[in-house]
Amino acid sequence: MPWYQFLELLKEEYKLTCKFYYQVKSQIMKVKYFLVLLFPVVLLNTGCKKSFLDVEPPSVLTGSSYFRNAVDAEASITAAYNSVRNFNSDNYAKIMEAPLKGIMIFNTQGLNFDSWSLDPNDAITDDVWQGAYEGIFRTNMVLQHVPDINMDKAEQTRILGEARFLRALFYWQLSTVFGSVPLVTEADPTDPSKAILAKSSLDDINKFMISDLKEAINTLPDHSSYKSSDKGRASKQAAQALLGKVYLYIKDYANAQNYFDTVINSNQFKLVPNFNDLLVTDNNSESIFEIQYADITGQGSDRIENDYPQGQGGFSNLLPTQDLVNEFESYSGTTANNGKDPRLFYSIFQDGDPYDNVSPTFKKAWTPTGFAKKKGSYPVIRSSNANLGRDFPIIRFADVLLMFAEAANENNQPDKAIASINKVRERVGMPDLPTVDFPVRNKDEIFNEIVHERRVEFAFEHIRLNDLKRWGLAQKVLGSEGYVDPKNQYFPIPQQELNNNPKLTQNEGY
Amino acid sequence: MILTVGHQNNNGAVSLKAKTWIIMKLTIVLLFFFTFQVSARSDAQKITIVKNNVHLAQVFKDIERQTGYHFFYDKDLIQKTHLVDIKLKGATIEQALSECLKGQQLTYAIVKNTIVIQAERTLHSQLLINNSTSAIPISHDIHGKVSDSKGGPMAGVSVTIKGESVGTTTDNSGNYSITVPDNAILIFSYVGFNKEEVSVNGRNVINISLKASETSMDQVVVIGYGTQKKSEITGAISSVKGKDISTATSTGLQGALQGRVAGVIITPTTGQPGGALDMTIRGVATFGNSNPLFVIDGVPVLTEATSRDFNPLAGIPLENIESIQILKDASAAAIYGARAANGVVIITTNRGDHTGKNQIQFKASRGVSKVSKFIPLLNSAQYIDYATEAFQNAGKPLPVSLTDSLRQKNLQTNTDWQKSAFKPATIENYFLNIYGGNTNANYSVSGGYLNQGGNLPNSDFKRYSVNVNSDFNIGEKKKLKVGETIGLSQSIWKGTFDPTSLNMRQLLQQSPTVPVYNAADDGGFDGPRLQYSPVGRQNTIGVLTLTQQKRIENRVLGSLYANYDILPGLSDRFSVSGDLSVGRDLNFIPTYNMGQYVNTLATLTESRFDRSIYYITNTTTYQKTFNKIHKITALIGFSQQHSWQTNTTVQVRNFQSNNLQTVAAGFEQRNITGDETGWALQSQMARLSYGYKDKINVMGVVRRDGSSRFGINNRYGVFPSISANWIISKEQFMDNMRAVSDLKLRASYGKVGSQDISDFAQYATIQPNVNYVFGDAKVLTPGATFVNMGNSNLKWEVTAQTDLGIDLGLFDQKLSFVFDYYVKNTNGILVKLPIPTTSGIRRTNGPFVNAGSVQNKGIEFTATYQNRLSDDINYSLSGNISANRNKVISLNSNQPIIAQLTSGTEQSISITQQGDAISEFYGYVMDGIFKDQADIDKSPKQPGSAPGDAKFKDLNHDGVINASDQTVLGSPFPKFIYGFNANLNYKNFDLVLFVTGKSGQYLYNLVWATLNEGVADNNATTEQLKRWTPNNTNTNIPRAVEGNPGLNERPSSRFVQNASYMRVQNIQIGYNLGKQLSHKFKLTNCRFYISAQNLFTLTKYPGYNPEIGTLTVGSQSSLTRGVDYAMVPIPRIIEGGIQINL
Repeated sequence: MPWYQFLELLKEEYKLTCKFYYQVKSQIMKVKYFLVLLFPVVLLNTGCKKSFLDVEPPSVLTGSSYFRNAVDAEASITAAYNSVRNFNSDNYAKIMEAPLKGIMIFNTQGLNFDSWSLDPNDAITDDVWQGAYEGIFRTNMVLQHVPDINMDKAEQTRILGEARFLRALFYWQLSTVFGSVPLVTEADPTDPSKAILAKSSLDDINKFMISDLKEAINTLPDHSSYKSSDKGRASKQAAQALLGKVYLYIKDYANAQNYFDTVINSNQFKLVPNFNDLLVTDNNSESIFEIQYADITGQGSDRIENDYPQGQGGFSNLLPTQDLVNEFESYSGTTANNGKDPRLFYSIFQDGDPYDNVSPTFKKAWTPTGFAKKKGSYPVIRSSNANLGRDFPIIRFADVLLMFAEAANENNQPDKAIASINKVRERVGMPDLPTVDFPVRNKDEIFNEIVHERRVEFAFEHIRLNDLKRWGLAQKVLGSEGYVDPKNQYFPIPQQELNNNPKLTQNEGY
Repeated sequence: MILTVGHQNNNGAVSLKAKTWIIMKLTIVLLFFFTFQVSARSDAQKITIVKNNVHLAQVFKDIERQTGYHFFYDKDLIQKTHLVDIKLKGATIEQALSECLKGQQLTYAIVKNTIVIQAERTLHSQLLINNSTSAIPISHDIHGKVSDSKGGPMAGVSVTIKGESVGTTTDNSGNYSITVPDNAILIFSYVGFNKEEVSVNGRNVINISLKASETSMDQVVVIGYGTQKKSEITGAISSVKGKDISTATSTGLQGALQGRVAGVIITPTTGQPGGALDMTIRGVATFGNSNPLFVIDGVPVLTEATSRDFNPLAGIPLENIESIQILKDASAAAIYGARAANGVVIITTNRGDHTGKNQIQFKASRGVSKVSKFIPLLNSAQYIDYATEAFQNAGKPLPVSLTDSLRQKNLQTNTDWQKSAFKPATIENYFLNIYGGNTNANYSVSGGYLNQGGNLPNSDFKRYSVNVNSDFNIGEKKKLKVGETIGLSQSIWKGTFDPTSLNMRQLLQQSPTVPVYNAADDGGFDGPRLQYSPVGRQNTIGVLTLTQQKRIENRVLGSLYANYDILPGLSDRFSVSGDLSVGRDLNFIPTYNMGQYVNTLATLTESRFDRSIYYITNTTTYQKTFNKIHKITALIGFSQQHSWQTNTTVQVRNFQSNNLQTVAAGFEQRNITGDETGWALQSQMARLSYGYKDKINVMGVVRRDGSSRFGINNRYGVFPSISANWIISKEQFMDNMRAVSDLKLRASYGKVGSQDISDFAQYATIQPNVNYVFGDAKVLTPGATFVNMGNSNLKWEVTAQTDLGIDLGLFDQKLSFVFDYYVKNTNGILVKLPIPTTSGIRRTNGPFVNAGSVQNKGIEFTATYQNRLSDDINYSLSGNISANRNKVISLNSNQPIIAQLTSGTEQSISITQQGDAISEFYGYVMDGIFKDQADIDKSPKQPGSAPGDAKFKDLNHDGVINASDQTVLGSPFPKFIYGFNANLNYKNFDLVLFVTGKSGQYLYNLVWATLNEGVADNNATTEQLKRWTPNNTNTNIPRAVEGNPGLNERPSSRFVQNASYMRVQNIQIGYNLGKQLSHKFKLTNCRFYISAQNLFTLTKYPGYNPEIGTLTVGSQSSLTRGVDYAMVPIPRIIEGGIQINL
């Protein structure tokens, strides 16, 4: 092919290419509209620097932004106190009171406790379990994070001490209900698998509580040094009292007596003159540590209300029976009421007792047993909103006095024991020991008096069941109710917990 | 189907006052189709018919089918012809006709697309008039134009006079003219379109538009972000027409679909008006919410209910629904990517049309609902006996109510709590729709009012709704189309309660010895008292009557769109949508005195909430057919969605009067709380469809979603799918199989996702308000802590689904079948697993995790037969049946998930473990009754048991009955579900029968468990009359004993009951007023009907309703299915109504 022909060909080719280019270009020009329409897409994609998808919780903090300052430290310990109240709810009351002889439950929820037919699937036991570990978690969070916060040292020390006290309290309550349980000492809100733990021995749990409480004693302020606005916080004496109690439960009577003695000699507590004020006047002179309630939504107590008779604003949850009434001594002194220990009058509504302005007198037909719980419930408050603001004691001075007496008796110091018991009896005008009923001539007789004294002094205060169990009297006293040793020494571990923690084992007998 | 005839003003504007009313025979129903004109096949069309001894009419039908020509002849004339033998292969139309008419003394003429057959002597080439059969005088000429629904002219449409063999056809511009008697009715017909009948009524001009017939393969189906011809559909999509469900006003949207679609299980959660329903498509594939995504007119709407009391879709009137498409497989749903794992329900509402005429439709109905099933309970005498025995067996003293004088007195009271609670209620429903339009614009405006009474005191549901929409074609070339849809509704629920709440159980548990009323007491109700019974349950009737509980929700659901045709085949659509709800929840508890339940302080809790979603989407579509063979449709799109909701709750108490129920009237402010939450989703999508000769279609979809709910590392998910179909019936080799009118194979595979976790699941959040009080002044001190766990490594839950389907149509689609087989594998299921609470976090507040995988596989089969026996009788029968098998393939934790019920001490009765279905029932196996002490002694140790107590099986043979003797007891999932629908039209009457059922499912009857506990704290069912006593040892009902020491009521096989059922869901009889009569009232159409819903149910299940889905919401809601808490019974409803078209 001649070269010029080839050139022509190239020219043609070029023309064609150009033509095609212009065709394509004109098409693209048409597509301009299209680009305009795509504009919103581009706009939406590249709006601002923060991604459209970065949506953060608008009303709560996330983990990384907590524990920055003193405010967070205070809020975190307050949450732990909140757990104390949660834990000591109506459900804990049912567990501790309903199984007793002398008290029956008259609410459909928790009836099984009355007959000791305990079911691992029971929601009430489960709630108590979950409540305790919730509290332990919150104290663990405080102990892990508050030390790193740059804040007032005294405040920081106090908060850490409170956390240790509360953690020990939770473990004490948990281990008295369930026996040996997993010992969780660290909190991780991101990984639940870290909590898959086997049970620790009761021994280890006790050691752990003791060490926490000793640390708390070293760091917490004196009870009397708290300002009026800080009433309700754990104090050095609260930790000492609880430590004494832990020692008492493990039968280390020497240490127990020692710590109770320290509390008594701190001279920061004295018995309330009027027995009825005990669970009615908040943070009174006898209170060592009590759960704070207020008539504010979410801060109230529903259990006082629950225990009022049905038709009188309550549900008759826990009803005293004749058996408990009989426990109160006959007595004819000045403070006597109907020939009985006045504590009966302050603890139990009986036929004809003054009630309130709606129903002036209590009628035995109001409840199946003919009685109702009065302690902490009188004067009657009619509220349907579960917001009763009366505190509930965890440890009060009378308890320390009687526990001191018990430890002293075990340590063979009967005089100290009797003197301490008498302080409690004198408050209600009961005659000093010895009496005809309680001659207290030897260790056993003193012990028997303490058994009696604790039952009438602390009725409805969630103390008796633990007492009977640690004294080894549960089978004897509660056998007729359905209690069986050793199975019922502890409640069943919630089945749901076993389902989710392969390392956990059920308590014996369930 | 059709409708519309009328005059169009010259300027094209729509006139509200139409001049003439024309009566039509068919019931007018609002159906909305983009119709395509089917052009007649070319003359080159080859005809193949080989048949012996057939009637000429049959041959003509075959020719019609193969060519698209329409035959036009006098029936009588053809009746007289003799049978023929035809052997045609690839013949032309002329050859075919000469062959057929050989020796028949007939001749033919082809006019446009119509073949006119006539006796040789009477044929005229253009206009045919045969007066030989009619003496009616010809009075005037009529002319007009026939168009399709888009306004395009239709040529070759045959126009005949009813009852005469006279007619004509339209020309190329769609025009016709004909001479008719005064009172004639014209029939317009065309292949692939619905026949129309129009009465002349003295007019000279009749214009009409025809609608494509529904059986046509050209029917258009709404898919995500577009439409497709039915033949092009490659996925598994089921359609339900609005007209089929519009009378189910009382059941709500989902309820109306129950039993209608294969593979879709719908279960009501309550019989209360406006209550929620549980809906699953092709099995439960996740552990949490398994309800599908609802898309209304392109807007994915808020359906994430916060509880099961309210149906979030209750604000949408059924009458306003034109059609519903249910996207079942992954390929169909993939375009909705992230939220499509449970399937997608696309709802299209009514729009105006292009007929140039304004139309009015009015519907009204009234009805009565009545509870028809009661649980047999003990009467007073029986209860007192039973309770006495329970106390005696427990060795407990009798309560006062069971002794002496009170006992005698209580025997006199005999309250039937159920009959006192459930009263008949009325339902009324009104709906008005005005719509119309021309080729430039169309509109639809509708308003509705529903007032549905509940059977329980103080419970009803009211809805006011207004819907407006319009579309405008802008510009000379109509390249730009804009429009809007706005739905406003106010829904008011009264007295609803959570189906898991105690209300219903307490009603049943209450002793018959307790009176309902006591005029002397505050509030007028009596209640449990010691002197009445040992039962301490609330008086449910009193509580529901006195408590004023109400939810008012105002909702705006709307969207605006613009569609621009950029180039031929290329268009862009941009739309902005919103779904906004504002409302309040009120709960007023007055002071009352109901036996032992006394309320001395009235309390009002009021919540105000607003929830909003905005949604922006832009899609660009390109469509082109190359060489008339290759059709390509491509779509790319973008969307983003943002949802936000806030809630403020205040509580006040102490009111001057129980009648002053406002926040302002409360003396004492108690509490103010709030909540705020939201999420965002950003997505890109692309779809490419390729069609080859309309025989093979392939579609690929990919969507990428980013969700704010996942941590930054796993935020995006990509969901691809591919699907194809092959329309075998269009292949040449099928030409001889004339019986097969449609045969299509479908196959698809794809992945879709789920983001159904709480909004901030990735974060461990600090909960404020964990407060405490300190100090003598009890100062509220703020506390805060972690109460739930977070997981920033969460990934999308992904469901991969394979679907194989066959569509088969026989005998001109008279008989059709759809069959599907699918396998659905869900991986990385998102759930909050129960956690060890030693972690310090409550069991149900653990982190979301990707917990395992589940497989669902199943088959679905639908058959439809429709036939027309004569002009007077036509009917259709359709049935569907489907079976799904659900299996947990793996659980990452290797631990079974034993889910917790929301209430009650029988906490865990559902287990989800590898190898079984989700949420099987779990518990002990009951093995009869302990006959005597010897029986107890020789049996495995079961603490607390005495003769007459339930005996349980020692499954692990360790000699003791304990938690490890629990096992799987049954599945809440049906083995198969079915629905059957019959429609019959006879002259002016129509009849609908709808039957649905589920088979092989079990329920855990928690009501039965509480009512047969054997304790005096509850009333019991009459089953307890057969209970064990020393004199009645041959029974399997345990003894009555207070306190239940043998734990007879523990979760066991005793309460797992077969809940198979078949239900006559709906029977409806309608009567159409007839043309003449309607005409008198100047109506286009008028129909009366009576319908009965939930007429009766065949089942062995003793509870109220043999269907219970999941009653809870949230992460674990699918893990406790089928537990009967005593739902509010579903009433029987009888309704009468009228439908009028002007």
